[in-house]
This record gives sequence, C-alpha cells and structure tokens, in this order.
Amino acid sequence: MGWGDGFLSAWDEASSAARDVAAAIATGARTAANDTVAVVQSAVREAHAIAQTAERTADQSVQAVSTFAGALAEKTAEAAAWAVEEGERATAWAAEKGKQAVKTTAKAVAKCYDQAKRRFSLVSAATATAACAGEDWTVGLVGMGLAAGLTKPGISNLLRPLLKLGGNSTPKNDGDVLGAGCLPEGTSNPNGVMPPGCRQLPGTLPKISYVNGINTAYAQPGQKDLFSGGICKTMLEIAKTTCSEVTGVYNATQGFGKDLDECLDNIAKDGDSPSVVPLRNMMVQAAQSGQRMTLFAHSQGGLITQEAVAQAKQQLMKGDHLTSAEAEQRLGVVSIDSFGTAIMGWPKGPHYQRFTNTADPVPPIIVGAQTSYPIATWKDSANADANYVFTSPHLNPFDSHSMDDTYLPEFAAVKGAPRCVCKAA
Amino acid sequence: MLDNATARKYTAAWARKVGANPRDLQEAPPADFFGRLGSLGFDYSAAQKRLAVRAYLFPYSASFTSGHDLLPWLNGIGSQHPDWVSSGVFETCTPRWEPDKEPSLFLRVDLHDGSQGDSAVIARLLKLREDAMLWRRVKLTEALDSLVRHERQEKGQ
Repeated sequence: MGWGDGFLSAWDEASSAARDVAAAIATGARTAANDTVAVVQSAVREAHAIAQTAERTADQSVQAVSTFAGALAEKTAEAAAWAVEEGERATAWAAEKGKQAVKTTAKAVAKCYDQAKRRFSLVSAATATAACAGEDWTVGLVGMGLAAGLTKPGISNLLRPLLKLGGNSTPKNDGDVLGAGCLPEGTSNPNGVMPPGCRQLPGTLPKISYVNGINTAYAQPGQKDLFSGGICKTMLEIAKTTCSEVTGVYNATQGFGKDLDECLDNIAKDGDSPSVVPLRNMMVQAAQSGQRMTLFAHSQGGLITQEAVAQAKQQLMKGDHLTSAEAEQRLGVVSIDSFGTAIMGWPKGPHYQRFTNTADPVPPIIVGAQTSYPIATWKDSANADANYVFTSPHLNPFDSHSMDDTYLPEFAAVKGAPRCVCKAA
Repeated sequence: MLDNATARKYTAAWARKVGANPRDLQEAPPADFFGRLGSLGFDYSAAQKRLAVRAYLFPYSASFTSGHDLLPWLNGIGSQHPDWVSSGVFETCTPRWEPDKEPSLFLRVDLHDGSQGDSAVIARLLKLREDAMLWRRVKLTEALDSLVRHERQEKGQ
C-alpha cells in the first residue's frame, strides 16, 4: 500500500482539525520548539510567584491552588504559542491546529498520525527528519495537554501508546543496587561497572550512580550478555561516556499509566518506590560523610530522585537535628544530572544540571502531570546550575527520549570526550 | 457502620479510578482485607467496621519513625489544621501488606460511614493523596524545621 491509500483512508475519517495536523506533519513543517522549555520555565516561575503570593493568605489556600493551576495552564499554553510564533509560519499553523485536534478527535488524529509516520519511511531522510521534529513536538503537546487535564477523555486512546512505552521491566529486581557485572551490589560485589578495557583499580575513577526511567529491562530479555540492553547497557554507556565507575539503582516502574488518573497516581506512588530508599540512603551517607556524589537520572527516574532528595533532606533534619537550610547545605555535595525528565520540582540542596531534548515527548508529559500537584512541585524547587536544551528529532518520537542514543551523546558533546587513561594491570 | 461489602465497593471504585486491581487485596479472618491499590494502602477491620486508608509520607525507615517527638508534633499541626491532613492522623507502622519492611510514616484516614456514595469516598481519597503529596514534598520539611528550632530553643532555655 502506498502513501496515498492508507493515509487517504484515515484522512477521510478525520475531522478537519485532525486533517490539518496530519497535513502539517506530512508536509514536513518544522517546529520551532527550541525555546519551548525555556519559555515554559519562565511561565512556571511566574506561576510560582503567583502561588507564593497567594499562599501568604492562608485562609485562601484552596483558591491559591486553583489560581496557580489556572495561571500555569494559561501560561503554559501561552508559552507554547509564543514558541511556535518564533518559528516558521507553517509550524504555528500546525501547532494551533494540533491543539484544536486534541480537543476534538484524538482517535482520528492517532490514525492520521500512524499513517503519517509510515509516510516518513518513504521520503528522504532530510525531509523525514524535518517532519519528525514537528511530529515529536505535536506528541509532546498532546501529552502535556492531556496530563494537564485540558483535554477530553477520548484522548486516552492516543495517550496509551505514548505512556506505555515499549520494553519490559522486571519487578522482582525493583530497587536493586547494581554493581560490577551488572549484578547486585553488596559486600561480595562492592564495585561498579568500569569503562571497557580499563584495568585501573576500582575506586580510582570518579563514581556515578544511575537511576533509570519507565519500562526499562533489568537486562536485555533472552540475552546472555547482560550489557546488551536495559539498565546494564546504559550503565556501561555511562561508564564509557564519562570514564567513571557506575552503579545502578534499578527502577522497575511500568509506564506512567493509561490515563490521567493512573498517571497522577503513579506519580504519587513514586514516593515509596523501592528505588527511592537506596537513593535516599546514598544521599544521606554522602551528606553525612562530605563525600561528593554524582547521580544521573533519566525519565521517571527523575521523579523518583526528586522524592529521594526530599526524603534525604528530611532524614538529615530528623536524624542530625538540622534545620532545612543546614540540611540543604550538607546536600550540596550531591550533584544530579537529569535527562529527559522533570524540569521543575527539584528540592533545594543538591547541584543540578538538566538535559532536555525539545523533540522528546516525555518532559512535557511530566510537566503537565506535575501541574496537578502545583505547590508540592514548586514550593521547594531549586534552579539548575546549568540547563542544556537541544533538539534531536527521530522518526520514532521515543527514540528522542533514549538515554543511550540521544541524551548520552548530547552529554558527550557538551562535556567533551573523557580523558580515560586506564592503566594496564 | 461500614460492612465488608460496602468497604469492598469503595476499594473497587478506587481501583477503577487509578487502574489498580482489587484482586491484589489479601484476605484475613474473620472478614478483613488489606493491601495496596495504587498509591494508597487499605486495611479493613471487620471487628471495628472500619476501613483505614493510608498514604505514604516517609517510607521504610526505622530510624526516621523511631523517637517520641515526631508524631505528637505532626499530629499537633494536624489538629490545628485538619484540612491539611484530610481530617486524618499521622501514624508510624508496618502495615499488614508489607510485614517484612521497615516501618513507614503514614497519613491515615478512617472510613466508618457506609452510607456515602462512591464519588464522595473517591473525592476524599483524592484529597488524601494530594495532601500526602504536599506533606511529602513540602510540609514535612517545614514541620521538621519548626520541630528542630523548637527543640533548640528549649535546650537553650
């Protein structure tokens, strides 16, 4: 079946708004979303200020939350519109129509969207890449719109495949700390994964801990080589990219959920995720010893890390009788690099660097979901020391979310090649 | 009074709301049931005709939940601001659904009234979930900060 048959079949069933979106995608309208994240952050800062002002009136706290959420939703929409206006006119048109489509016929959009994706495989790589950026951005917009509760229930048909990502997680290993050989860390296996070929003694390279996102396999199913996929492969990639000794904290969460209710409940559930406990304990230990600690967090691993930081702070306050300011100062030894995850809601204390691919549909979904917990997200929210925003579109929108294929290469590009001089044994 | 059938109806409604499976609940004699459904834990006591619903605030830490100062301090705040705690109470315990884990700090509400509609119960549980989220991320830190300052002031006097 050629481009025309399948697409036209879906086209006939689509609403006018859905047709507009599909047409925009198919004609390769390029998004100008580069500034979206920065603009959304700006909007959130404004909304934060609104929340703080409103919070001062304690007896109007309920109204404050409402005002805050409303302001945020409005500002987020404005931010998206502004970003689009900065780009090519075709993109502005596509985005506007996309918003209309989300509100009208999500099912039809999904069908056209699928057909449009097939179309991409038939056109030249350059055109496809250009089209893809628009596609990813549209997917993100859809996710953000849904998660923020701005859309109608029928959208869940579209969101389901977006949030239930491919891959398998392994619940029985949930919360495991993984070391050398990608085997559970412990007294008999105290070291981490080293860069390949490096025979330098463990403990002599910088150490990095890593927590994965949703639907990540413990190892590639059916493969004898643990490092051929899943968290193990990513740990190895981090070791190579950074020339570090890497330990992993395995998070076995299976997706954000099939609809808004489930998504919000899963975010609430992150607070007692099995992987929170080892992360919290690592941070407390680092803060108490003064030993520097670096953590990489990808996707939902970022939300779990946020919970772990809040708990580490509380543990320090309770255990060592510290004020919040003192606990935050102790947590200054912790550095957290986040990839394709929450932009806001990082508790004060650690140092943060954020890497966000504007073509990645997941961060907008998280931003949208966090708007449902506004004060919990923004009342204790630190600025990042560095914010790396880039655009790396892929044919499959979720490749734009990949730690191995998108975020680590960007990290290497920003930070430069590691000086991994490993001594011979 | 909340009988077993009504309590099950409420938990089933919550499970539908958050995409959980009510079959994950475990049975216990004489007619109790308990377990996790999404972010909340449920524990029905047939003897007390009560459905306790718990939201996690600080999970799995014997050291955090030990000591005698924290709970009275938190419940003092809760009694002054019942709307901050969904009219519930703070509690440290090892719930029946995870007996092998270290105790956790919870915010707990008790449902006794079987005459409420499902939507009213769901609304209360959603409020509990939101309140717990706010406590975990913000209010618990603020409460600990005020507790530390209070204890320092007392020691200084």
